[in-house]
Amino acid sequence: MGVVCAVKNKTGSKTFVQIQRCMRLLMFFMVAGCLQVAARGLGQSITLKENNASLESVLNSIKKQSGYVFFYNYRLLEKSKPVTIQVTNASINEALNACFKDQPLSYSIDGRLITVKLKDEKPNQATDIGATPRSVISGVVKDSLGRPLPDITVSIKGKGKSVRTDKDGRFSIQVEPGDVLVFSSVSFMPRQIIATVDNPMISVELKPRIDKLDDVEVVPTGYQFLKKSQIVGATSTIKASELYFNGINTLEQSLQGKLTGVVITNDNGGLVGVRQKTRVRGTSTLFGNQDPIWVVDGIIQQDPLPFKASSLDAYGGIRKDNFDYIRDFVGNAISWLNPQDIEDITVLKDAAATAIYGVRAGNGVIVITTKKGRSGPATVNYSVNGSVTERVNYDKLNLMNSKDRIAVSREIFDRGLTGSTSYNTKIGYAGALNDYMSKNIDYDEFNRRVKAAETVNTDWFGLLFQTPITINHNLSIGGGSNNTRYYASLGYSDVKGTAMGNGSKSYTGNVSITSNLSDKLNVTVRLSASQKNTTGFFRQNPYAYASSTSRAIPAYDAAGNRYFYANTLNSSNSGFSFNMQNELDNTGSTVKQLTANTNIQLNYRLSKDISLETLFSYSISSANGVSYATDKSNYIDSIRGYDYGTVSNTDAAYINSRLPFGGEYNQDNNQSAAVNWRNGINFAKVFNKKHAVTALLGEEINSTRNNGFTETTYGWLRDRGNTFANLPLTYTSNNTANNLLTAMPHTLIDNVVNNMGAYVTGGYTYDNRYVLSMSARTDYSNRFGQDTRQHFNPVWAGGIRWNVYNEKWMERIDWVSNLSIKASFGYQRNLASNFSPYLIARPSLSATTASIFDQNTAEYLLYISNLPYTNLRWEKNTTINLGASMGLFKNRVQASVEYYQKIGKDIITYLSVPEEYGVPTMPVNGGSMNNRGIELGASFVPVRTKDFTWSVGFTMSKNFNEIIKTANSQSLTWKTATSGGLYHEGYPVSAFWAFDYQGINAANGYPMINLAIKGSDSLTDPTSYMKYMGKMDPDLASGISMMFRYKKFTMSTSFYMQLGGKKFLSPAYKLNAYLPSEFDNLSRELLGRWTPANTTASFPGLPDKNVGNTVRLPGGNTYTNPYEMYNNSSARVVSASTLRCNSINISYTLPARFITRARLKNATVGAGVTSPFAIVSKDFRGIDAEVATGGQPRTRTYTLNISTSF
Amino acid sequence: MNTIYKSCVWLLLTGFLFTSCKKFLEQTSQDEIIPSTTDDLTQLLNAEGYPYNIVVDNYTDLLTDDVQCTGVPAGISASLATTYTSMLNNGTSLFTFNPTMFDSTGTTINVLGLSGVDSWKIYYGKIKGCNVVLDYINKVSGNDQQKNALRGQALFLRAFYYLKLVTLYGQPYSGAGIDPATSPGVPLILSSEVSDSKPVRNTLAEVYSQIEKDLLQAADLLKNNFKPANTFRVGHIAAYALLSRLYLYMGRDEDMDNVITYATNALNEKPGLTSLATFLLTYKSYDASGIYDFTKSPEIVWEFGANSVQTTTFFPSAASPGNVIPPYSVSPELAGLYEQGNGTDTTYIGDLRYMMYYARTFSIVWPVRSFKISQNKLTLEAKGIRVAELYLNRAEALIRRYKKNSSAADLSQALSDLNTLRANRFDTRFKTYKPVNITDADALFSFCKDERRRELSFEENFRWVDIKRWGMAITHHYVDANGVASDYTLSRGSNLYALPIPYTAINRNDQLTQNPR
Repeated sequence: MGVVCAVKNKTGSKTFVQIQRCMRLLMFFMVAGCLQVAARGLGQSITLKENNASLESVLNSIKKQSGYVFFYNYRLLEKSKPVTIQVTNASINEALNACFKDQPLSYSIDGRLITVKLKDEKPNQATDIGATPRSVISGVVKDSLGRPLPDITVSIKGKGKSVRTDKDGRFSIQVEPGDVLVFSSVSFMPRQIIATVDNPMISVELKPRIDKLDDVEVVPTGYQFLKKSQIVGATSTIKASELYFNGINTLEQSLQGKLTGVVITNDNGGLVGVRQKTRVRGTSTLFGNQDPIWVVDGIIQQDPLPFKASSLDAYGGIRKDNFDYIRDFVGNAISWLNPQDIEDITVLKDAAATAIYGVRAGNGVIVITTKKGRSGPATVNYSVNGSVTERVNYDKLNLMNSKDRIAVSREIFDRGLTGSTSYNTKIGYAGALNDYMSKNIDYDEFNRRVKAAETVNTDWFGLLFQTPITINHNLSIGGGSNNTRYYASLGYSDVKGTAMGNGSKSYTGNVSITSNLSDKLNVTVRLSASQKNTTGFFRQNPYAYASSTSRAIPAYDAAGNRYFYANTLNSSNSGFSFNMQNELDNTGSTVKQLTANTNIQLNYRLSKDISLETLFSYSISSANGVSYATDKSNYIDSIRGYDYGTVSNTDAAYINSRLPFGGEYNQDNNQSAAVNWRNGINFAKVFNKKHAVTALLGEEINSTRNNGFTETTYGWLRDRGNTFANLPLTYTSNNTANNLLTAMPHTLIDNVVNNMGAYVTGGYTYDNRYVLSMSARTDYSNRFGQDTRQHFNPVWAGGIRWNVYNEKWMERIDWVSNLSIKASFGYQRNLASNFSPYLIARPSLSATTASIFDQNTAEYLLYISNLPYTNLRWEKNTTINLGASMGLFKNRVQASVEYYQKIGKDIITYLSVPEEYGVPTMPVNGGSMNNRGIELGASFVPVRTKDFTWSVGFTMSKNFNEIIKTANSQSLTWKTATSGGLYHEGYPVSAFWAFDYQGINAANGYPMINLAIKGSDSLTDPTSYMKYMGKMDPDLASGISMMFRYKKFTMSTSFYMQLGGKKFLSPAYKLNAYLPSEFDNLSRELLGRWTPANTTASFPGLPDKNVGNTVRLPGGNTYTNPYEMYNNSSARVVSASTLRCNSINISYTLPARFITRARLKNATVGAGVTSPFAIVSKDFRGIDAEVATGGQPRTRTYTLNISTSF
Repeated sequence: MNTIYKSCVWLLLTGFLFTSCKKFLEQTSQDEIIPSTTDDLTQLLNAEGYPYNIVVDNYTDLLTDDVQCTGVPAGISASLATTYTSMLNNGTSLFTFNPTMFDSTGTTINVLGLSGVDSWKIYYGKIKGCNVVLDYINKVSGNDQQKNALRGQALFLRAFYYLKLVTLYGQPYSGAGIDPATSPGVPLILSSEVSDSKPVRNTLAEVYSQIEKDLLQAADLLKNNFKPANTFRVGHIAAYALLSRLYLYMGRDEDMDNVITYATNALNEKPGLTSLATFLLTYKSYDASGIYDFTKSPEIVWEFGANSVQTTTFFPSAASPGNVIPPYSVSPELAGLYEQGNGTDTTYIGDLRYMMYYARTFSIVWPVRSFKISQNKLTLEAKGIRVAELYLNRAEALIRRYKKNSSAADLSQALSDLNTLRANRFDTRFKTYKPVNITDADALFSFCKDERRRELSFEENFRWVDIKRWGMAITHHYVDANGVASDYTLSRGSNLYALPIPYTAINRNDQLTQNPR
């Protein structure tokens, strides 16, 4: 700290001078091109015909003809002689020479400036005040609306002198003739004005910097800021101001359809605080991590939880354990970031753009830059928004009411579809009928109960869902001087889900300071912290329950108490009383996440061309997740073996219980600490004004430590002071050992991942027209068993670019304002993490003593974890990217198109090997996969007048993905084929198959399925008897956003469209014991079902007791039934093409006079709605697409926000 | 001013230089290790090489004449009927000598999927463990003695598994019309490297010769470097014993000398047998700890535990065999081979093996399955190598030699071996054992065969291999779940002497030629 102060105190004005020089240099590069053009445009030919005219008038006519500007003191001209001159088409020099030939004066030309001086006056002798008079220029700076602009830096070009405008936009500065005034600010385009003595009071209007998608001139890559015209790779950038945050949608959600090549899918319905799936340019590895990496201000963000492979069940489905329920509610690597702090977001897509990140960037990189302070007095921004989300209700769903549902039950019994014992239940129509048949009730009572069930029509959505209000507050302050800028923000958000009990609260804080300690040393310090508490569910899903439970089941009994019933058909909790509201009161999960980041960046300019950079960051995050079920929950009933409070300690049930007291408490604690340190040397130099060379050489180290502990404890007593009851050591009269004691798993995680990388990137630009760029990186890590130290395996890429619009011959085509073509080539690599060239052993993963040590000899045991695979190579993606971008009519129309091809070779797959080798499979570099795609981005401004602007932005991505070769062994069942999880050569990833539906058997109403084998071997390939339906991922994803501005009103809309891609409708027949159970609600589709009276219906009839799992599928011992096949048949496949309006929002900027009166700088009010409507395929027959495919419908959210700055 | 700049520059430079710390890149893992010492490899061999806790080969008894089928008894409880029907069905294809027994598509029950039936997969999995140890032994630290001890054990175990495989899936070495030089054995995998190339079956001669080579080397290495601390680890005596078994299985006349040599080598160091009479507590009550209890029985050369007492795939659990005769049980032919006391004499029970070697039903005293249990009858059923086998191996070789050369020494040694064994198997509490004295070579050979069957029933596939090498025909009387009986015959020199290779193995390796069937 002492050092910093010392530097600051000692430098002072010297620094200032150097900054001016620096700025001049910068200015030179930036305007060099323009000046050349301008100079060429000046009239060089001067024609004069004067006789004894005053010098002043002659110079004035030269000024008019040439556009040159003169500087002189009037008093000087008094000494002049009259001029007689006659020149035709003379150059400026010739003309001036003729004028000054006999004068006591001389002139000098500097650019467009001609200074008139006394002859013999030496240029360096600027001491004679009388000879070089100074004058004061003052003026006012305004914006385009005429509002005064404070804090604009007014400096004299090339001299160490500057002033700032005051709050009324006024300034005054002492100038010499020939001085050029520079008006600059971060938010406005710089402007230069030549100080002329004849105009001492000036009014300057500054234009704001235009923050448009394609106007971003500098692209952050996380390592560098590159000029857009020098980028050879595929990138796209969006300003945060173009994204719509309403406090509920996550950062990823708001990106949907906004960036070309980025596809966001939400698998978790409408829940709050859950993760989204992000893919950049398709899927390029089969077994590795498929997520892109997130980079915030140059720092790669770590996932808050260490990677955990999911355990799969026999059908290839993911089996959830207690901790997976917690993990669902832990956000991703950037969930700590307050979206309001984001300045812009850039996605790096191809190898040329990502090579500098090395192997980790195989799936793309998303770079986020956060806001920095802007120089000027402190600006405080405060914004608040409140949102209301619509509740899900039955209108959006296509479900039966209780009357329709009872009618189905009635048909089941009237037609005798079920045997009496297999449909034994106490509720609904069947319950009443059972009681009547066993003569417990009379016919009148039976009718009364059926009537009651028909009319109860329980509104499960009304009971379990709410219309939540979400509030966000955000306060930020930013400002600074030329040397030091600061930005700080505080955010609070309270988000509530529509499902009662789901929500999250978060607090974020962020401070960043950038300071020039000297003209050579720049320091940026950033500190941020966030806390987020999320509450969710445990083993319950309110949407699933509400949408699948029969509305004939009451929620309350006649006395108004909660109605409990036993779902005898649910194998996991059969026979125990259940009430959803009670269950939600007694189960749940909470996740507390705490994140703190700090980073320090130092930039040191070694010389004019070389600078050094070091960036150090440290971040810690902790996630504390809990899931629980109390002793009053049905889940615990099923472990305990009897309903809560129904048994005394002398009953057999008590003795037979493993958990007579208490519930279950699962805890998952994770801490991770990451250190990142990066050092680089930057070189940039322009030779001969034409050859621009840039280079960056650097190295980076990264260390992440994860500590975690998970445990499950039984016997938890929430309502008794959160204490724990001991479990009985034995249960049953035989004193069987209590296996719950061994079912309390403990897992300890303690690992360190260290990475070290060296990177180099270089570029050469000739005359701003031809660009050549290369980057490479090599990485080393402590990853176990890989020994990457021994394999120098750099990732490299390069590309070229031709800025066509800078060619001379383009000048004539004035409607083209920009045109460039680029091409890149490179390799991206991926090392699947589970394989090694070494023999790796591990202790037993199970806690069973017999597997930890030999029970006979008490010797410890080690198991083979990885056989050595010496020939395994890194996965290799060869990437080619071709792109073109253009701007027309002064960039009012901008478009870019990119084509890419990613050829994945050596992708690791599992090869089935002969059993004689003792292992079922071995990993080989056997697979290959091809990703091709085209991306289109366009923006144009159809109308731009003073009062009305209409601008349109458009993105489109089309990806073709094909698996060329795969040798992996996978779960070859019809279930993987219908789920899209079967990788099949010649088909894309996410290809899926369905049973071939042939219609309805008119005799019994069963669906008919064609199981004939086509082609390949049915033993190993379920697709041989199924029908290929297409793929689940969309072919084409497109986003359209439009902005209308009329005076102070702005309206923005955002649409998302996806074409191609197919989906299964949600199962029509949810079978439980082969018949729709009395507990389940059914789709209204079934109202059009086959019945003996309606044999030509479009829907199969109700199944009956004879529909067992009796259909043996070809080639094996897999049995299924016609209705399960129907649910997964071609009849249930629909196109998933959608056009969805993501958001519409309107904002209004309050008028200037109101703002000034309220002592504000700016104030805006706005309102918006998300998901207002969607247009889907007609296959959905008007049902909400998400509902039809089994998901939770997106409901509309209305948001109101106010934003002020002062 | 300048000093501050300089210090900044130095700070940056040191950053460049010293961030590349070697220790930083040292490989770490929370729960994985690269085996680097002989101790690591020993732990690996114990888990991946030794047949620890594996259930295997519990189906071969169904192919022999030691087992009978009586179907599902009538009038039993519904739950027991279900259990028994499933046992009956599980064993049907084996007991009826169905040549498609291991093709799950050919039968309604996937026999191969039953516990312990896919010997091919199980043994090749263990061979991988042995090969990994053998391949890595030179890459770890440790002294030569430790390395040689490990190498000896791994070689022994690999030979043990190959002998299992070749006797299951190959024709008998000296069977009638079998040329070991051309008759297919099993693929020899002698390295841990996995590749996608498809190994073909080596000939019987190549497989046996590899087993012989490995065992001879193992015997040498173990003798000089390793003394097993307990009966669960193999030493050189086990190698001698397995060599005697190998040569006996090869079965040519010239192999008999080797049988005698290696059995003698082993017996010289470990001659002791366990007297079953010491297990008797009172009349018909005995210590059930069994012949494989190393605390009671000195005759164990090597034992390995397998949880097959509890497996109820084909037989009811040995711990609770029930009270009705299950579908498969010990054949009356085998039961009848044991000399019994008169049933009332409380001082003499006769051949104690009938009582102690079998689990039996409670109310109907009928032998059901093996009960040669280990120290903990509830968790382990040991198999392995016992001294008793060595006496029987040597006796058989001596008798065959006697048959050729009529040497009196051979006869007397053979008789002595048989009588030594029998003396420890009979009730000798109050009565001295009466030695047998048969001089006719054929009669003695026949007696020796019966003795082998009496002693080694339901252990290491002994009876199945004996049937093959002695070229026997077997007829099975099968009673199905409905009580309908039919007979199935395994002819002499049947194709089924070499069991079909499991279809799962052939599916993955089309270069494996299936045995003719």
